[in-house]
This record gives sequence, structure tokens and C-alpha cells, in this order.
Amino acid sequence: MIKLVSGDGAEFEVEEEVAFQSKIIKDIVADADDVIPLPTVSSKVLIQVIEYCRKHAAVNSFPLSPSSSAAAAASSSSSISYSKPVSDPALRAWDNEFVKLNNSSLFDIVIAANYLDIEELVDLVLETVADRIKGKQAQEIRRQFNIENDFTPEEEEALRRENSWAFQNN
Amino acid sequence: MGKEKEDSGIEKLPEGCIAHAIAHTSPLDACRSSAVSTTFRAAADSDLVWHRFLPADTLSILSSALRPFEYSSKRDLFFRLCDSFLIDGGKMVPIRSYPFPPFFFSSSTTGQATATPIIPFHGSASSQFLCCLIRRVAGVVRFSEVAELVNVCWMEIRGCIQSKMLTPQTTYAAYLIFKLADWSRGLDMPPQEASVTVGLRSSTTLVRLQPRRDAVQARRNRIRFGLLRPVEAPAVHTLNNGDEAEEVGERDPPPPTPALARDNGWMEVALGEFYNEKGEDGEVVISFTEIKGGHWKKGLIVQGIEIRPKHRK
Repeated sequence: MIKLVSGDGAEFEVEEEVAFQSKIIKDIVADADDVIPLPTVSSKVLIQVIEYCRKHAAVNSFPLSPSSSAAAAASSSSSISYSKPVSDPALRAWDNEFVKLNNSSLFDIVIAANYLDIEELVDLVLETVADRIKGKQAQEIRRQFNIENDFTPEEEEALRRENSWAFQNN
Repeated sequence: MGKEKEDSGIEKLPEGCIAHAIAHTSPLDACRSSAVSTTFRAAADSDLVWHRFLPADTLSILSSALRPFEYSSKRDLFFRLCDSFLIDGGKMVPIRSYPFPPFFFSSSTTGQATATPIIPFHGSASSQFLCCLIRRVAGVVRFSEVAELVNVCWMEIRGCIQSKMLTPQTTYAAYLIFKLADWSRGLDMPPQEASVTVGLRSSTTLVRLQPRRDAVQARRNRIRFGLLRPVEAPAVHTLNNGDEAEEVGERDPPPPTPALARDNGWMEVALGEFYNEKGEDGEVVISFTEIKGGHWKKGLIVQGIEIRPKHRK
């Protein structure tokens, strides 16, 4: 068992294969009885991340059917390291439920996942964020994420001209 | 960043995360995102995002460019590729003459265009065909010299492009870019057949390059002789085609797709649409044919076939 300590001092004991969903932890663990401090991760977020890792560790320990892994290999073609799409339908459904969170909680998770280097979780969350961007005009995106428009009117006008095709009737 | 707005949340994300999220959207969403805030703009314009939207074989497209291709960012490259771009070494296609129809032009994206194009004309001794260079663009197939159809009975124009050259998860529409010479004839009836084939999927539609003069005239005559009542509805049918606007109400349902005016006196007619899923469907074959009428057709000047993403004007 590996002991993870959150920023607010809570201790979590997890199995090795659960903790090793994080590449960083996998790298730094030397001893099976290590205690790993995670000062930037709150216990609330750590609970969610562990929940995700536990689920994925359980599913990943069973080999997937060959056809699904072939499909997964198809879509990795760019320099950004996209994790393979989750091909198990039950797991995907679980993931979809997992990310039904407000924006602020999603961002907390992606910051922790990024810090812990859990590629699949980063990708899952950012894909969810992308879904909340898709099909929206700039003003709607600002409202969605509570972002302040910090452009000058001139800059904004220039942007509109430059991308005029993107702003036509939705 | 984000000091004055503690609760916005997204501003506290590590650099790259916003870009990573936007890379999961589309070119359209990325452009809209760039107008959200300065932080979003930096993310939405980044190479990380636009790399994802570029065709998978961008490098090989660039390496076959006639001239060195300069661009300031991947975003810039994306939009330049959407415009015009001469590649395939500008290979000359030999003009051959065959005694037989069909007239056939094929632009092969492998650069092996010389193997297929057969550019014969049925009849006319003075036949000239000016179509030689092949232009290929990510999103556009265009012949750099125009092709002029002097006089043929059967015509078939084909273009193909590898689907991996196009942006994945994007709907494209193909258009025939053409002009009609003053002396053009035979391009109204019967309507021409257009098809777009991607992998196993294929769609066929009827198009009409020239308004259907004969039918219009026939109908007018029938009205004049009292065989047909001059009926309701002409006003409703106004299509974008100015020429045809006054001859409305004459079309059979469903009407063949009419041609629309473009810049510089060229016309375009939609040949069909297709969805490029992952770019793994092999060749997209677009064809435009009229071989059923068997009559002489003349005066068609073809610039090429253009393929463009559906949302771009």
C-alpha cells in the first residue's frame, strides 16, 4: 500500500496499481511503504482523483478485446500526447458520469491530474471542457466560464474582421 | 493572470491546458475562442491547436510544393492551405487524342496523373484542350490552366483526392468551377449527373450548368396557345441565380441543382458533400458526367473542382 497525503493533511492508503495510474508517483516510489506528500492537492480533489484511478486501475488490469485496442490505436497522430480513447463502453459511461461536475471542480481535477501526470484523466476533463466550448460564440464562452473580456474595442473589432467567417449566423 | 477575477477558475489552469481543450474542438470553435479573452486568444492561436486541424500528410504536401511555402504559424499555414497552392510538381499532362469518347479527365493526387487522363474530342478537328497543370490544395483540386470543352458527345470530368489530405471530422462540399462560352450549347438538357464517392459511400445528384431554355420556351408556348394556364407561384421560386429568376415555375420537381455566380465571372455548381471522418477512407472521387443525352455539348470552360469545408464561404 502507498500512502498519499493531501495538502490539508488527510492520509489515503491506496493499492500500488491505483497510485501508479499517476506516472509521477510511479516514477518516484522507491519503496512499497512510501508516504507521498501532495501539498497542492486538497483532500476533496484527491478523493475524486483516487476514485477515478481506482476505477481505471480495475478495468485496465483486464485485457481489452483485441478489436477495441485496434480502434484505439487509430486516432493518435499528432504531437500532443492524446491518451488513447477509452474503448470499453461501460468505462466510458462511467467516465461520462464522473465529469458531470461544475467548471470549477473540473478545473481543480485537471490541475491535480496534470500535476500527478495522469494523462487519461487530463484528456477526459479537457474533452469535457471542449464540449462546453463547442458551438458557442465568444460571448457565450465568456459566460460559461465566467471570463472577463479584456480586449480593447479596437482589438475586438480587428479579431472579428480577421475571422469574419467564424462569426456569421452561429 | 486572473488576479482580479478569482472565481473565473479557468484562468488558473496550467498553461497549455486551455489550448489542449480547444484542440478538441474545431477550426470554427478555435476562431471564436480567440475572441474570448487575451488568454484564450494565445491558446486558440497556438501551434498545438492548429497542428491538430491540419491534414495528416501536411509535410508531404509541403514537400511537393512548387515554391518554398512560407508561413508564420500553423494557424497561418492552415488558412493558406485553404486557399490556393500549386503542387505535384506542376506536371504536364500530355494531350493525347483518342478516336473514342468518353472525354475523360482525371487529376490523380499521387502525381501520376499522366497515366489516366485521356482528353479526346469526339469529332472536331480543331479540338484543343488547354488543360495541363494540375493544382492540388488541401481542400481544393484545381487545374491551373482552364480546360475548354470544344465539342463532345460524352463528357466525364473526374477529380480525386486522398481523404487523409483533408481535415478530419469535417464536412466538405465539392464544386465544379466553370464558365460558359457565348457559343455554349447542349448543357441544359438532360441535366448532368454529379457524384461524390468516399470509401463505400456514394451520393449522386443532378445538376444543370445552363438554365433549361427549351423547356422554358415550350412552356411559354403552351401557355400562349392556351394549353396551359399561366399559374400561380412564380414569385416564390426566386433562386440565387439571377438569370433564371424570371423563368421560374418551369422546373420539374426535384429540380437539378442550379449553378451560382462566383467572383470574376466564374460559376460554380455543387456536386455533393461528404463527411471526412478520420481521413482513412482512401480516395474521395468526384465526378461530373453527361453521357445519356448523346448530343453535342460545347462551350464549357472548366477551371477545376474545388473542395472546401462546408462552413467556409
